[in-house]
Amino acid sequence: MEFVLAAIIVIGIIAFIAYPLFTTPRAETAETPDALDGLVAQRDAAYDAIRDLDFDFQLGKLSQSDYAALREKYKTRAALALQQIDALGGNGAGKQIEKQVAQLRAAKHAAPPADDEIEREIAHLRAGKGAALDLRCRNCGAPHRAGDAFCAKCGNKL
Amino acid sequence: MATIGTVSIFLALVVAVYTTLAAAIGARRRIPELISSARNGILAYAVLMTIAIGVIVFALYAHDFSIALVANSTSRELQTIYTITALWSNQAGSLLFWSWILSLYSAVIVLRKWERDRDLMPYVIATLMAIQTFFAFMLSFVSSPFAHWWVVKGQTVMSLFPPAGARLFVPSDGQGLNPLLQHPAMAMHPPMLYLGYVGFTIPFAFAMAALMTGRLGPAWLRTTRRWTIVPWMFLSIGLMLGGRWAYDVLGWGGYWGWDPVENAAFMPWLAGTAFLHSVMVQERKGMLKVWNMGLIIITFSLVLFGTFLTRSGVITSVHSFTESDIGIWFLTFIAGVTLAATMLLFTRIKELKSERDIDALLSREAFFLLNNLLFVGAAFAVLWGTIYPLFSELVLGNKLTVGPPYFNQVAAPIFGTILLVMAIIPLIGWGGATGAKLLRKLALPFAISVVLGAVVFTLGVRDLVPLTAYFLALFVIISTASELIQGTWARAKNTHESFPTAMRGLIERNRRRYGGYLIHIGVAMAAIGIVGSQVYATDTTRALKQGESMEIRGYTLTYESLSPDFPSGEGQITSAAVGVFQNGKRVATLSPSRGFYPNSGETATTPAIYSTAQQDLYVIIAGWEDNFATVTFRAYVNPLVFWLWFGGFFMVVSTLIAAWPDAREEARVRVEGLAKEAVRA
Amino acid sequence: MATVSVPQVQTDKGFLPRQTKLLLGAFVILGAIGFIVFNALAGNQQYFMTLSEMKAKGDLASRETVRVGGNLMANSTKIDTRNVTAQFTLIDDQNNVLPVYYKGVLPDTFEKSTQVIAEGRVDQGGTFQASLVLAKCPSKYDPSKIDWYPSNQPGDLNYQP
Repeated sequence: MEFVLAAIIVIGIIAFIAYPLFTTPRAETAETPDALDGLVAQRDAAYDAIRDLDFDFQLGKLSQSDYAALREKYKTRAALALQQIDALGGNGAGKQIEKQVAQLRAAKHAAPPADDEIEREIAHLRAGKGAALDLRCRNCGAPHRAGDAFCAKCGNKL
Repeated sequence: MATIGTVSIFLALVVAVYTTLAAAIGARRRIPELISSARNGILAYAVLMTIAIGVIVFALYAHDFSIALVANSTSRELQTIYTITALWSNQAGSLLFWSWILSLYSAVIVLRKWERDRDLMPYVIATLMAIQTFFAFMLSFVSSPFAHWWVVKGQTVMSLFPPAGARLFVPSDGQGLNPLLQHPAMAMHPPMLYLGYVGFTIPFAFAMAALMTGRLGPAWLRTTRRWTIVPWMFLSIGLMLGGRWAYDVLGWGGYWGWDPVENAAFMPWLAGTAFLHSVMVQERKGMLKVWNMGLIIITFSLVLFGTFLTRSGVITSVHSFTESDIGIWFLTFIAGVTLAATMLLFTRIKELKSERDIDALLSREAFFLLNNLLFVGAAFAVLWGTIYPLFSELVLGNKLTVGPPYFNQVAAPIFGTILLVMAIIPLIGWGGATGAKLLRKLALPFAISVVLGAVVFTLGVRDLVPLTAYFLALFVIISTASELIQGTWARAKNTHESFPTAMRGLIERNRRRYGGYLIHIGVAMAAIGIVGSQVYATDTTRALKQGESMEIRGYTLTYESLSPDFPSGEGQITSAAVGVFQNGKRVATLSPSRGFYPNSGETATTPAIYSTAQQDLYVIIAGWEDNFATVTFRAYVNPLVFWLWFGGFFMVVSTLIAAWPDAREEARVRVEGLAKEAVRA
Repeated sequence: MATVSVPQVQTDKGFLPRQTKLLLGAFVILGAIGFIVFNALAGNQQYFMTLSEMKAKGDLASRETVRVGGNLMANSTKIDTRNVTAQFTLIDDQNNVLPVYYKGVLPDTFEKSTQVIAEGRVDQGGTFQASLVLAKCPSKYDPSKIDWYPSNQPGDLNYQP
């Protein structure tokens, strides 16, 4: 009796494992590039950082100047990430994300107004599609491109 | 019935080998059928282990003494609950349990939707099943749960298959369970510990998969986040239960002895705590990638090492309930896994560049780094103290022991600094903080803590070390609470919610942060309990005839009556009723007892405890004369111990709050999915 | 993935770049921990010896607190429950003996233990004054040490009528 049971188990398990070898698998969707994953994560991280920053400032952990400087930095990062997502997708993928995020937030529970505000700011920043973001050298005020390390005009390290 | 069990185990070994290969080859050569088959393999392994566990549990319940495990660990008089939990009281049973729990975790991993991690999953499966191959091998050939006792040439031998000329030996009753293990905390302690230990295999497998596929981006971290905090929580529970058991059962008034087996569970907890924090830095800033990989490898190695320490008795330990030859196998396995993982890490090390540098030294990231150094340092300190006797004997030729004085001496400064970091951290933001503002925010909590510290001083705490420790713990609580309160006010101002609703909303909006703060408060409470009970415990011993009394710290204890030889499960319990009086009023009646267990021939002393928030009164029977006409009682007063257990409980509940899935997370997952579709479209 | 440089918000203050300061700090902390560990270890080790090793080491055991392990000599245990003290004798395979005096409660498993470990010092009279006594449980998997109940069920293989 035991042996019968044991035999059933053995056969059952082997069948279960072998079954997929003889059936056609489901249609595979393409692998997603690691880079995209990273960019979406960067955008989210920057967005989170801004939210936390706003809250921390409200709680008095930062001076006005530190707060403003950090906020600019994170907004730029978010916008850059979205631009790069666009570059990957080639058809306004970044813009699509923003739209859908806004829709999701509206559909789910009402998000605090601060969230939408931040989304709008970021969208505004990257609205200059393809055009350089409004980045300026600290020293002389001349505009520069996102990837630049030194100011073309005065040579200041950026 | 044992046949079904044995067959399941051997088949499981075959399945493990097949699944490892199928997953690896299927991923490499892009053969989706193989990967599907491997997925089924991991489920099949779980089914087979469940069958094996089922067979053993049934055999235990039915007192089938033909199976050696049952005969060695239980007896007919043992209560049913302990008969079942005896499964993990012995070596083969605990290996089986380990493998079963890992198989359940693996099955859950595989049954959820894997589209997000499709590239990683085959390698995750391969890693998990490679580890399972080791355990299945051990269970088949080295330490089988279905072994029997045989009699051959007048000797009894335990093995799976009969030696030549042997006949089966079925005792009429078993050896019984060690009476120290017949306690609810001990029944639950190994499962919780294993759910913790074993659970760390999952993030390890994901890390290895990330290294093997080269997909070193944030995907593997995001998936493992929840799979790290859940095992961490169980490990915390397991450690607490172990301490509580020691307190309730071992009768020496303490709960932690820095025993190698205790340290074996503590080290992965320390490394795991470091890992939980450092992954947050990687998620936010793309830093510490190599460190995180190294840390999860260390954590998992410590898990395996801990299992090895506990089950092989290699370092003289009074906790060692077993002794065996699985030691060499385990050591080889640990060495192999650690080496392979480290080599894998080095081949990918160039791709694990940090995305950015740290922005400011006065920032949350920097303090998280500090936290990591301290926790990893603590793990090293505990590890070194634990293995030093072995190292000294093998390398230096001296046999030495390293006891609690060493561990207490290293723990105090390291954990004190950790408390200080915990006090400051809620008031620093990611990215940076303004120094002046930080000091201003710290001022009020600091001042309140100093005042409370002064109160503690006047209550009699004059020594610097405990005073500092109390101060730091209070500082943590006040500082963290102030951050929670201020956050709630700020939110309430924005959203016009009531205070409780606002606090709830605040926590739900950022569970990891605020759940984390609550966990910190729990830790600080536990720290207060530890300091009080370690530094200021007192005890008195006195021989009393019935009716006589003794005094300790304001309590009067009177030996009132005796209940001899009450049968309970395997044992005969004799307990003495002790009346406890404070200021002339009876506050409790305690029944410390002595149990005699004829099956194993052992005795067990069980304490009776009267616990208040302020202190525990803990009484044991230390000896007796004239058939209990005179009983020697030892009474301890342990201040503040309650806060250790309450703090631990608070920590666990807070962990649930921190780890609970929430709507924002789900929304984020949707956003990623949409982004990917948009790109592919 | 193209690396992007984002404008630095805080310029490095002081003469050391931030990264270096960080690494330096890390080294300091790790160094401090290492120092604490080795210091504590140096001050808190104890010799752990067998009875013959103790004899060989001369008067070490009277100068320092040591741990010594041996077997419990049968019928040598005397317990004074009133004062909560105990005396017993440790013996090893080479018939070295050591009388031990312990102020405290003996562990529950003491009588049945295979090995006893005592921590303390040898006094002038040659008695080991123990401050700690540990007992090691007999191994359950050593078949020669297991007492099996004989079976009284006819048909059981170890049936003894």
